[in-house]
Amino acid sequence: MVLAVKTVNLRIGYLDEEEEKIQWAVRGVDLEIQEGESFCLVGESGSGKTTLANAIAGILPPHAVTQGKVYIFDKLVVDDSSRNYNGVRGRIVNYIPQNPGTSLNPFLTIEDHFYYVLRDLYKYDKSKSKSIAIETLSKVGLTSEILDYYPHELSGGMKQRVLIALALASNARIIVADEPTSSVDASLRAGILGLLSKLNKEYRVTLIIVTHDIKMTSAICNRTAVMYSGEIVEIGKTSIILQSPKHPYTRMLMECVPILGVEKPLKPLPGEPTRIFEDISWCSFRERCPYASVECKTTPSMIPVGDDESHFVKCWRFHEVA
Amino acid sequence: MSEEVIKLERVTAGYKVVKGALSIWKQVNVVLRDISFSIGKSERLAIIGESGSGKTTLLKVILGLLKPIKGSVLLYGRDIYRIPDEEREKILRKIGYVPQDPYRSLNPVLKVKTIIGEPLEVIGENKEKIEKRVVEVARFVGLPWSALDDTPEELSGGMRQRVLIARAIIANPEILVLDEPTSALDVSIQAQILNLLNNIYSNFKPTMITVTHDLAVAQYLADRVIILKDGCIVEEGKLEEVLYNPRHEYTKTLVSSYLYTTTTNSVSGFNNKS
Amino acid sequence: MPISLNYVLKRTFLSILIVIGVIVFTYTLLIITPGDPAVKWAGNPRGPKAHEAVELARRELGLDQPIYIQIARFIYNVFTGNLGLSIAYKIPVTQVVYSGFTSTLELLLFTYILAVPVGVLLGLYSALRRGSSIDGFIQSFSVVLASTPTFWLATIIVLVIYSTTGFLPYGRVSSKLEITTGFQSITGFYLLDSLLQGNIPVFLDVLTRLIPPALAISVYPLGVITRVTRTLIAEALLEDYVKAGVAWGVNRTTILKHFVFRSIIPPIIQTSGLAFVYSMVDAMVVESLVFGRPGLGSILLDALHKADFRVALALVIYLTIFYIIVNTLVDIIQAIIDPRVKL
Repeated sequence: MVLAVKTVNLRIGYLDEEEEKIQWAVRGVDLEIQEGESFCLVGESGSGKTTLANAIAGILPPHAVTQGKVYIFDKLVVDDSSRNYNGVRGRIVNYIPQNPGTSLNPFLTIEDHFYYVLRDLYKYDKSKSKSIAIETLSKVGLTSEILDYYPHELSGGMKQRVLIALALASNARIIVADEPTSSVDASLRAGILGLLSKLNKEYRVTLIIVTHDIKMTSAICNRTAVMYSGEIVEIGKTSIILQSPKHPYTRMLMECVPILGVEKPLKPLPGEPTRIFEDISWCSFRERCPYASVECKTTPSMIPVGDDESHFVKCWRFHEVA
Repeated sequence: MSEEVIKLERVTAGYKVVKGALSIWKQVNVVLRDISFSIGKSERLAIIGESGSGKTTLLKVILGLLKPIKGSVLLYGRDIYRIPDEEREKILRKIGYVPQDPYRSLNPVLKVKTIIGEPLEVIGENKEKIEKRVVEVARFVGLPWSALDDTPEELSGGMRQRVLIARAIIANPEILVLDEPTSALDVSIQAQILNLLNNIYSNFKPTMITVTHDLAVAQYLADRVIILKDGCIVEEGKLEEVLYNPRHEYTKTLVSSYLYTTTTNSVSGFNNKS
Repeated sequence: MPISLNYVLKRTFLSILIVIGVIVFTYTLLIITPGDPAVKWAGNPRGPKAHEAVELARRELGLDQPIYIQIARFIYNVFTGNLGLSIAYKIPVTQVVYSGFTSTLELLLFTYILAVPVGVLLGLYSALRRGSSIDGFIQSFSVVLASTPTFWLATIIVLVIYSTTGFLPYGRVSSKLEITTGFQSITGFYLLDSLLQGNIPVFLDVLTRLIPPALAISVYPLGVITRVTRTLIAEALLEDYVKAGVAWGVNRTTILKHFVFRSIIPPIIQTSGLAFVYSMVDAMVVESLVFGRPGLGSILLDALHKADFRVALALVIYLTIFYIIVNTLVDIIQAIIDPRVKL
């Protein structure tokens, strides 16, 4: 099996000019995603999931600081402080932005969008890009008449589908979708997820979904990683993670989520998702963890859980987690 | 049958819009059509609607901010748009309102303790009493002592939401109106706020109205629901009946979409019922 | 790019209303300021024929008729360019104003056609290197440019040129050359006219005399436009749709051309338009007082010296109308380019 994405001890930070320090958003992530997988990256705000996704999609801002390595299909795109995504953006990895309202160029028609992207990627001319546009738009359930529209003339749901069509049209092998359902009305969410799922199953596109909604993961992803404070704290098959989470944070997430039809008390942990930006040598979840003990003063490593080869937990105390 | 605290009778409401080349023609954009429902004392109602359904307008009508084109809005039996201003203000003071978006609903130049104390200031309470109440309420909602002297910019989303809630309950309202109380928050904070709201309810038993698009949140905060679509009520009733056995097409879509995006193994309870 | 006809019509109609308002206002000033309007219109004549001149003026303005007819007639006169003869020179007033207008406009257009692109390029250069020291320098320097007093700068330029080359940059064209080459003015824009006649010596002469005043006047728009462009581009680069475009694989040139530039053109046009009308005053001062060129500045001065009331009035009215036209054009162009403006 081919590795679509591989990161080695990836650290990403932003230089704070005033304090002359680096605020680390991603701290030491080792990740491997196989081709054809559908993978979810789950976390709350400050977890680093968006930064990690941006690093894969090639849209880190110029003032970001990187360490470690990122490979996209064996191409080294991040090599410590140098980043080179030439030929990767759009062609191999594509990105569906979170907010459809602001992610389309208000000065271009939908047809123009397809034209400029396909021209720059593959040198297609106007007629070829138009036919590809019509094809991909129909796959997402839109007719060719929207080609002449400007983004502000479309509804939110239509804009979201245009974004998906654009990602499809570039024929990328990896699609990174950032919170694909948060800005969309509830009645349209199933449709969007169904579409993404189809991409993965029928066209064998590697899907990487970033979300804060852990209960959505099983609808679309077969493997999930949970992030907290810039690190992956648990990773494994989605069904296992949801059924028997081993990291105290994952467990808390599952217990916090209200689910229609299930009468259960919500049990969040006190405090807020901590935003630690410096380098620390202890477990970042320690302050809020009900299982914290002496061992937790050193950063845990990724420990395999039982016999399951795919389930890993970054916790010394996971045996205690019920 | 408990006393009807809020009752809407055939309310149609909308906004005036200016049209035409010289901007002199006015047209009315109707948002709510023929809305009728009532809420009894200490009942908890959820208004479920998506964007464009008219839920914001409905809140404005209930809060006394938008006079309906047709119909009446009765609070404690009085039509709030047809009584003198003084009386209306007295009635409206019984409502505590938590607006949407904790990031944009707070005045960034005021200190938190000033913001929370505002409702008492408006009715003319003396300073010591206000200070005492502010501290009391802040502790109840879980705001740390240090937050009182901060400005909203220095607080996280969850903290800001607590400030909004504190301000809404400081005057002991009989009616609590919440507009998407948890949409902008992280999951773990959302759970804390939901627990807090339930705590408030069990202690003070206000009449509660929550506007939300999240069906699970509605389950936690309401006993009855109204489904709003395109300005009309398409279904209403007890929460279990409407959401577990939906009758209208739209409600069915909402529920099935929710189910599709939430299949987890712990939903066994639901699967049994449907 | 769709043109919303509705908006264009609405805007043009509005500006016509404003123009009429201005004319009415000016006429009102004429009537209500102390003194007999006919006397002012006649130019305060003295001597034996004064009484007749005043009566003539009274009939010209129609002061014996009802006020609404007076105003209507005045508006009509303004639009047809019939504001009487210049008291000092006895030629139609509009002709006097026009001759000055073309000279000043030529200077302004020449300045702006050069200053605006240079400013935009500098702003782009700076924005692409935002955060660097060169960016900081350009930003500070553009503030200096925008605040430099034009009159002072113009004088310095004259001194420098004269002391280094012995050439004194005054006037619009060398009268000697004009005569020896038989130069005729056709449109009033000498650069154009000399090319039309194939008259290269005059062309070069006009150009040489245009450059120093243009240099002085260009400093303000250069400063303003550089700053505005830099800010606009730096902000545009942070937009969500630019980020998305980069993610889709759109290359840098296309991003700049079609994602960034299209969003900044309307505000730049607006800024340039506003700066242009501001520079008009600058130009009038500098061209007449420092460079001794014919133009609106010297005409206005002359009219004031000679109590040529009609010329002064006409100049003010037509200048104001020009401002309004420029503003309207700027708004319309903005509506054409930005598909979101749909009113």
